[in-house]
Amino acid sequence: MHEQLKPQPGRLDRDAAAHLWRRAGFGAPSALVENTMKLSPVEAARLAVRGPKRDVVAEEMESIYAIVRGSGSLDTIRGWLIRRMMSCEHQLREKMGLFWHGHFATSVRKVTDLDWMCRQYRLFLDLGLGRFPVLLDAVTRDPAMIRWLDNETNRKGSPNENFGRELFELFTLGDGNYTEKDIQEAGRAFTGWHILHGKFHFSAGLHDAGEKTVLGTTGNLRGEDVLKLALAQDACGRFLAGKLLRFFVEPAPSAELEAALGAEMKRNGYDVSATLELMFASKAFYAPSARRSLVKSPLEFVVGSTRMLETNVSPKELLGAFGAMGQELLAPPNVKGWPGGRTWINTATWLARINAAHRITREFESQRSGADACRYFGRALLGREPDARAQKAIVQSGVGTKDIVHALLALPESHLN
Amino acid sequence: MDIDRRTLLKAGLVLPMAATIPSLFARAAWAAEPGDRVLVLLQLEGGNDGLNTIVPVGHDAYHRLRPGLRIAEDQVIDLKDGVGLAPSLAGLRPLWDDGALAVVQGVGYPEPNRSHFTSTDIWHSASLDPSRRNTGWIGRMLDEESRGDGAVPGLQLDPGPLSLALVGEKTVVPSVRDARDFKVRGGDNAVARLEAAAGDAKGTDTLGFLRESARQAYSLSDSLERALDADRGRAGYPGSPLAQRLWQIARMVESGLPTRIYAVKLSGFDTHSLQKDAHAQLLRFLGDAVGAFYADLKKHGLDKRVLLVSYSEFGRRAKENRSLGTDHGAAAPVLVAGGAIRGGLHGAHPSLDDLQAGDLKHHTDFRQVYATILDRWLRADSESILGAKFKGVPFV
Repeated sequence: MHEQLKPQPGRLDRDAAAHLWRRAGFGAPSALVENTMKLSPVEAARLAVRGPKRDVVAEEMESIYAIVRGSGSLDTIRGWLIRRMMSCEHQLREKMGLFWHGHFATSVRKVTDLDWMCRQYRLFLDLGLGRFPVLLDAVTRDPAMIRWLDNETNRKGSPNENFGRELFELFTLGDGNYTEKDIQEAGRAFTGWHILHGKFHFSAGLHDAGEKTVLGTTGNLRGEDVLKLALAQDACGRFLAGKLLRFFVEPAPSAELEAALGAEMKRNGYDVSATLELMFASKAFYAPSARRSLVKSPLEFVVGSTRMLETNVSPKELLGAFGAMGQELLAPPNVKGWPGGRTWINTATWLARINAAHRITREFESQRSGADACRYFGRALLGREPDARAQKAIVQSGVGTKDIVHALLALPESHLN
Repeated sequence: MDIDRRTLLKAGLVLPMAATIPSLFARAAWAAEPGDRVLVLLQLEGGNDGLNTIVPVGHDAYHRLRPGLRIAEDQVIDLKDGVGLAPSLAGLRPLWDDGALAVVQGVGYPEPNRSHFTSTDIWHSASLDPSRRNTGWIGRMLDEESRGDGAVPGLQLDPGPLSLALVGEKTVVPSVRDARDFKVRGGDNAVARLEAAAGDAKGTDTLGFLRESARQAYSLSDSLERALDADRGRAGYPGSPLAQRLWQIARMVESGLPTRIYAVKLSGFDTHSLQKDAHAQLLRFLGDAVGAFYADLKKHGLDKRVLLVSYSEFGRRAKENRSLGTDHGAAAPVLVAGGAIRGGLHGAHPSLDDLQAGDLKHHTDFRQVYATILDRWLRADSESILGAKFKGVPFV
């Protein structure tokens, strides 16, 4: 195994524990960070990936799912998803839901049907920590995806190659690992994969059952066969591993690390949980160069801030801010999802973050004040105390705790993950 | 900034102004030099159907290829030489009559890539080499001329992520959805406190990047608010988001902001099915917005300072598909607007009888358009920015 994928030795210190929960979730209250400090990296990774025996909050959220789904309100659905991220104990399940939403980026702007969008996001929550081939198969038959990539118009004799293209480019292989011919032929294999009464429907009469050659294999290939062929490529493991590494570990992982994790992933049958357990225990994950190397997404920033400050803000109050910050759930910018990293930050999104932080801190209550509040909440948010210069600038006479916390959230360091 | 200060700055003898004095005063250093030329990039996202934008007139092949989507000849706005504007682009008619509209036909690049993302990246990076697509052509230009005076070099007006065209190695180009959304909650005092807490330490790492972005955000916020204070000239614009953004750009140019590059986008051009009405509507947004923008600039004597260029990642297949739409294609026209350009048709319409894998062939490389803009409009060095010398197109 690649040296950097071997488990990090020792036990977690505060900074490492805070790092783990910011990445394998949206950040944790101080008590959880402190409890995790007793664990080894392998034990901590297992806890983060497998979650608690029972997630009571998730059960409560499930109990209102039918109402949310039937609400006909995009804001209600978004609020429900954000509330899950803020409150569910099995944080990684929610984080992976968001990861797959970005991976299979489908937008309500084109799909329009809210129920379909809800059902698609459920796939990410329900299958997101399982085996990738199962998720891929489900997404390929998902009505929202079929509409999003125009597969409804993909018919024998007049193929629409959109799904075939994105399947290879964005879902499994990455650009450069297939040919234009592969796309056209794959498109033919998915002819007749349509929707009927809101459900997947295979229209045999519109399916092109003829011979095709995809990724070097020739035969009367069907859609299922094309998925298998894509998954059999080394490029697929590498591509998915690269995306996981860039989302969870570091902005520019080495090609060797991508290939090594990709090989592990392919070897374990694309078992997402097993891959994540390996990754979250690894030396690469805990490397000093990996810590605070990522830029928080707007959801990571807002949801994480409420969790780490242990304050309660109604998700609905913040929905408008997410548009301005550049991350609207169920409406990613395009098929490629959110590019992330430094692209999250520009003048506009920075100010939107500062204003969202202002909103978060308006209802913030605490007995602490002044320099004490600055140090205490600084540590909760950053995993360590803010530097002396920042403390001096933040704590000035007459400035209340709400405004101290607002300034802490406006520290550039609070936007690093 | 005066020359002495610039020289000292370069020699490392003084700090950048914004690092030493509050942003409110730094703004004084932003005064635009009179005659500074402005470039507006207008991206048509999704692959605009060039064939139904600049429509062939008197070609049987067009009607054969487009039985369902063709635009009748008596409807097009004749531009002579066998082409016409789609009727929904009527808003551009006054520009054409003024010689302020140039149509560069048959623009593309060798071995066209039909992925939206890859082709957009090719256009924005101006690189056919996949390993050299980390920066954009405008970002590299801004890197080269980096003025280091705290001025905002370029501005994207769009809710989406920053266009790769504007990404540089050193330059941070901000992006706003609406220039008036820029107001920091918490009062003036809050801004000073937040700015001080953020710190001014420089650095190329992610933290340094965040600090620089924060600093820019706070200082730009105030000046934009002033430029857009009144509704001046707004009545002449349609209500579309594109038109409203162009109105804001006109006001920012008028107010003397030294920003030379603006980028806007019109999305929805990926018309795989039932294209006709949807495409006409998009062109109407485009033509009416650019028409209003030009009229506004002209009225205020600014039209000769601004060049707008609209482009798309690719055109669409010549033959319509069976969903009454069109699939991803290759060559397409680039439209250039401005009071100081050489209007008219540049280059012939690509032949409909000599297609390449069903697509129109390009005869003008998109980097020739860029070279023209860089060398003759922005007075930059296209050879170093594009990595090669490209022959210009005489629209400037």
